[in-house]
Amino acid sequence: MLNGVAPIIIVHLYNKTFLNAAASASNFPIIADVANLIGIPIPIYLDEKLTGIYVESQTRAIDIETKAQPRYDGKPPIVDQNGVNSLVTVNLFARNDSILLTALLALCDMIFQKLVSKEYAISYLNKSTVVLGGLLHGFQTTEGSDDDLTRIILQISKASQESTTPQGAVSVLPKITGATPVPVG
Amino acid sequence: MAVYDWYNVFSKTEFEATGLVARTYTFELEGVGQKDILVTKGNTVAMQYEDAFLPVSFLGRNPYEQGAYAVYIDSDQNVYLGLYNEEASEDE
Repeated sequence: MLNGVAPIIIVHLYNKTFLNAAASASNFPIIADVANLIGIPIPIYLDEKLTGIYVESQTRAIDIETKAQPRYDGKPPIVDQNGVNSLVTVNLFARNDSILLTALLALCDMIFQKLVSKEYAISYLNKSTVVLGGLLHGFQTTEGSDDDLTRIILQISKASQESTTPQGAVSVLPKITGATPVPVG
Repeated sequence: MAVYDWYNVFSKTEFEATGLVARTYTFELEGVGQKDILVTKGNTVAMQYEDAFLPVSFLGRNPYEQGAYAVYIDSDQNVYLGLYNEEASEDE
């Protein structure tokens, strides 16, 4: 929770086609830009008493690819690092009769249809963990047979905000046609 | 006479100065597209392009030709990759 009543997941859904049309029709495109960033926010409070959904634990993990290039002269290797992913994993419990559990499942189904077009974003605020405009990395639910609880694992990727890999331009090599590339004198 | 399309891939002097055993260069080759070229340093400097292994000045041959590919090093130590140009070779 961050100055609120409970931890919260906010699912933002928006339609790029609609927003682009609004931007072109409006004399104030900044409004559409702001709407594009915010989307239609759908908040889901994660409170046992309020919504029947409870945050058991949350984990933050960063995955980095490290590549060492050895050198034959005995000097230390050249090390390149790329950020692979930055994940926040939230483990939740929900009562099977929770209406917002049904809403959460439906929203994740809607997100699945919008993955390619990226017309969604997920924000999550709980104590020191704050994700704004994250992407869904994984979603899993397990229903127990011994109780009336559904266990949920929600993984949110922050990679869209924390890219560490510069997109280097690939150089274009012109061709020289001939028996050799330079005149043999 | 075999005619090739030559591409200036790397400087042998600069590559050896890095002390690297191997390095992958990624280039957009004109008329071919984006390709990865692996340069290695063993007993000699060599290029790996697709399925061809092309040692620079192999057996004293410059350019060194292998099938549809060739490698050439000029007096400034620039190393070129050659791709066989069938059309231009027939005109020669």
